[in-house]
Amino acid sequence: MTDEKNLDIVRQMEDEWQKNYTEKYEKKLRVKIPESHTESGISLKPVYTPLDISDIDYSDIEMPGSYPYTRGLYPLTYQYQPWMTQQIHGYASRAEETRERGEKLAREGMKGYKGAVLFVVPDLASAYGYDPDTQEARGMVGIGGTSVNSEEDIRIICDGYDLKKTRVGFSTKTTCLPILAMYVAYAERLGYEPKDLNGQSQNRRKISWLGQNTRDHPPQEQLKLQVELIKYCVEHMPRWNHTNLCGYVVGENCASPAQEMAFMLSEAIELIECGIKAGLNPDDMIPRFSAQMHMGMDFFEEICKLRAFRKMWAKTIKERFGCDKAASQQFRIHVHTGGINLTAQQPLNNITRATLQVLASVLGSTQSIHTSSYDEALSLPSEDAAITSLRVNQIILNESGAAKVCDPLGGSYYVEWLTDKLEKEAWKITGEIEKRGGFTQCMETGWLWNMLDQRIRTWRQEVDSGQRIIVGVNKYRQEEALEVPEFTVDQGVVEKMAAQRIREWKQSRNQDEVKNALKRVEAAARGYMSVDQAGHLMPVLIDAARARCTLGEMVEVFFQVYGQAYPC
Amino acid sequence: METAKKEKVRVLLTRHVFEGHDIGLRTIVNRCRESGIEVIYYPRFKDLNEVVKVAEEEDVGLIGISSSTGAHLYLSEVLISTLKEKGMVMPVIVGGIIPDKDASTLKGLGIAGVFGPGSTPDEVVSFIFTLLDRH
Repeated sequence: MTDEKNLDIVRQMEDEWQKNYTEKYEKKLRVKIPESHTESGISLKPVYTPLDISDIDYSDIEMPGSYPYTRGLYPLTYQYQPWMTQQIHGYASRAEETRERGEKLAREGMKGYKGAVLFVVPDLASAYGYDPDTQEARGMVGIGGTSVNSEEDIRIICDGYDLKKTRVGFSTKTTCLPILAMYVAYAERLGYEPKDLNGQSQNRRKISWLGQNTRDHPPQEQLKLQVELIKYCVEHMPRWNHTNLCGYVVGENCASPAQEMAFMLSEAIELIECGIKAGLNPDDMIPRFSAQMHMGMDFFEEICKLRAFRKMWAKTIKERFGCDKAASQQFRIHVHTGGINLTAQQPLNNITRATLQVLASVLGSTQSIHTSSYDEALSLPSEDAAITSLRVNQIILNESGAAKVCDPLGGSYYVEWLTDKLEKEAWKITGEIEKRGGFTQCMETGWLWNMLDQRIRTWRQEVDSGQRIIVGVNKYRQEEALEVPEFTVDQGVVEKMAAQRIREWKQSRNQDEVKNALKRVEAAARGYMSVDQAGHLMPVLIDAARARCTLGEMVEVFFQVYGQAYPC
Repeated sequence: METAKKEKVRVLLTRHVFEGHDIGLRTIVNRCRESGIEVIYYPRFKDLNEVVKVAEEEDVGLIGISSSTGAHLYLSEVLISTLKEKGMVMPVIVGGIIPDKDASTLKGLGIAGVFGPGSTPDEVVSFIFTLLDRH
């Protein structure tokens, strides 16, 4: 990036520095500075200069808003509009309390670009596709989220919101298609059409399946269902983000930033290829991918991760899929700050961790952030903790000045060098996954599982040996614990109420309609043999939702047809 | 020094099928095995009858349950009462995200050891050895 004459001067300066360094530390103090490396294993020097980035072409960095979007998607970043603060929330009983929390957070400043945000986490029973009145759901209703099993539960959460303006999302894995069908049926009853709806499906079940080691269908079947949802949304719900590429869960399994990037890109490549087989135009499908990236503690590498990933995405979409539409090449990022980095010990330290992570996300030009709360290693977030998470964002936006300039670290010798190195590292892993048959194949063979399992073991060893320092855990420990008010739910009461509600819902239906609708879902599911046949399942699923079928009933049909599998 | 030949310590470690966190559990499984404990790792159960059945069939000396989503009170209560119904005497330990204030409730239910955030794998291993020596 610098001309030869200037580089010669830099070389002389570096030689001088090297001399000083050797004199002072090696000869005089006789110390050897330990080697350091990033989370992704990239070796670091103590200082970076123009020499380190002399072979990087500025066209690979460019201006904000220009391909390959290293410095941001748009000509202006936060000068035009701040990042969205999108806090997922969901707990207790009943959809009512979840709604109250959402409204409280909105009053405290949580907002999307255009209107309200409703990102709802279902409870454990709902998340795995069981209705609260079933034996399997016992003890699991109202745990970790809210009970969402019928259109009625959705109504309670969404009632009164303008669904054209509200961004709605349900945190779902194996229930992703039925939840969307229920939401569409609910909206229809209010007079909305699918094309009006604004929000997102997670549609990233394979990564959740692997990362959480839980029940779903075998990976190839999961892939088919992902493609089915994409096909429906692209054709009927143009405002809906059909797929959330999820680096977050991968990061929570100790993946390095480079591994996380490779997972996300590999899954996207496969889904796009399948979407093309299913008859979709890539430029219709690609702009509606969204992302949830993990934000860990390696401050500079995390900043570089967002910069490098935007670049990798843009190059893949342009070069591999030949898409020139800007919206396809622009990768919009939502960050979720690391849960794995939170400690139960000295929990207020987690506010500092979140602050660094939000700052790194902002310096990496993210579009949106969910900030984990300081008490999350102890319980679901209390109201106070959830509001503090919002405040972290508000302080960085309003007080720190970090948002005044686009990509403020652009041009930093270190940041540009590391962005480039990290990109190369991530390409290497992406190439390896492709060589081994692609993302789904690497799930089936366990290759991805083993990669993460190795990282988890190494992380533990490093923490136990003290090689990796976690303040308050293996260094600067305090014996006396700080009392943090823990948020709890009266699970038994919640379960009774939710079970009662779903029983009433089931009684209110025409049972023949329900039976027939589920039969049609089964027939469509059985007829769906390969991704090129996508497009026939979602419509019958929406019919089933119109007939008031519950989440559990629909999911049950899928498990009968596609079977179940566990990663390990 | 001659020590009495001991039978191998054998435990059952498990979590509920809806539990989406298993890194902690897998870490404990690994550490136990490295320490010479024989582990029946049952990665997921649908209900607690299943746990008791496996514990009986595999003839383990202890059951360990991991929960990080807030279901620990329910799971512990049902497991303890299921064991009682079957007339089985078997220590149970619970780990995961267990709030401090629940530790005494759990002990009151008859849980032998509670390992919340901040507990180390080695603490769990030495607890198991001490407990099973005593039995």
